[in-house]
Amino acid sequence: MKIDLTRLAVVSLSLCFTSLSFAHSGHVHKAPLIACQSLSKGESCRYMVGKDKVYKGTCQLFEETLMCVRNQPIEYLTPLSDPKLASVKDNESITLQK
Amino acid sequence: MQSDNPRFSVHLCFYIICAIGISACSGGDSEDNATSLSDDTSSSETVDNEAIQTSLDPDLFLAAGLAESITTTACTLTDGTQTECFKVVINGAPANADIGPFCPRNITDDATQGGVWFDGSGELYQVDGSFILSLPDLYGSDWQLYDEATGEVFVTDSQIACEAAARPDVDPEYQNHCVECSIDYYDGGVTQTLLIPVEPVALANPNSLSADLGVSLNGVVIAGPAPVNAILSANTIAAFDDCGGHVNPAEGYHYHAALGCSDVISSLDGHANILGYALDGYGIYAMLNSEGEEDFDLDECRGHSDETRGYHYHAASAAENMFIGCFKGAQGSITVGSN
Ligand SMILES: [Zn+2]
Ligand SMILES: [Zn+2]
Repeated sequence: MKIDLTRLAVVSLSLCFTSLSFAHSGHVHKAPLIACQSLSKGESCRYMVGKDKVYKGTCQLFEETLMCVRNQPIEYLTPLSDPKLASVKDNESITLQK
Repeated sequence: MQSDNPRFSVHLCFYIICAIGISACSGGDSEDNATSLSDDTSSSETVDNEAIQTSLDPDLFLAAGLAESITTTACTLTDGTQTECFKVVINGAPANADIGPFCPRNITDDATQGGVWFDGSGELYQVDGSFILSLPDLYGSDWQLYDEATGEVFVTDSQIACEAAARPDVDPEYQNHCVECSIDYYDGGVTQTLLIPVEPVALANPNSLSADLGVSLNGVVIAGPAPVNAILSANTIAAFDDCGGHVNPAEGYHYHAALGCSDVISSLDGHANILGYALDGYGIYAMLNSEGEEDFDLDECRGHSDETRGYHYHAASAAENMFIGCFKGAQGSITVGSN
């Protein structure tokens, strides 16, 4: 594998800008990544999918990126069963870190 | 696809940092089995799952997916262990399914004319005409993957187009495209050779996944997560077919998700079906058991042990853009060609 560092830097920068534009697109496809943003490999993480599903697992490395790997069955929230989770979701912070 | 041949994948995922055996065969381990059977202590003691670790069973593979019979050869694992490995040579096309379709051709096309898309967010999308129309809502107003006058979807429908789009610095001409590569460009399949330890060697600390992580029973490379952030950053969708696979120039057809196409052996005890093997020799099973339930005791790699199989993994859902979380054992290797 050959890594062209110049190209890598340019594309990295462009991706950084691109990701800024994603931030308010309404769909957080990076939730498993954001869930591990301030965590280390092996630490517990969780994130929400849609309005009613909680995914819990641990942060694992894929290439250079930490990502939340679910290792517990998907939890389905019933309405108002967990107001804390609901309010976090309302604040658009889809990530729930322990 | 775009970007996710192993080289591109490594390449691209690098970029992202800014934004972000059922075997029953084998008869191996007979020494340990004998120990447990003849043990003169109480029969109620805890089962040592190491004692019943099963190894890869060549008979579970569909022959049509293999370029040659599975044999054994000397190999060195990632932890330096010198041991014996199964040599699995796949011919690059699934034994039991057609490859594709991937991208719809018109915004009026239905789900039968396209495949699926997942971006790791937990949602699985049918890539039909409606999905193409929904992309601006999903990813941003600068997404436009079709001709407004004709409804025609912008698809990389030649080898030149596919290869220009399936690289880290996507040719600007192919941004806002649904990216697909026909396996016909690559002689119908890319032959690859996997060396998988006959006896898995457990690691004290799991290894992070590599670009490719194993092989399915129908003869397809199982890859790590598709680099969806890099793909999406070029306003492209590297569509998967309904089996969760797609084609890239370097390694041909490969899976990023388990969608049932590799479940070729039905489990008899209610456990989830086996679908393939990881490079460390441990089996990979479907996510759900026969009751449609998930296990509660999976470790960080999405694996656990039982008395029949020993240690093994359970795949995540397709929408999670992954099979397993890490390697619990030292890995063999995967290379292009039949060497
Ligand atoms: Zn891929
Ligand atoms: Zn299991």
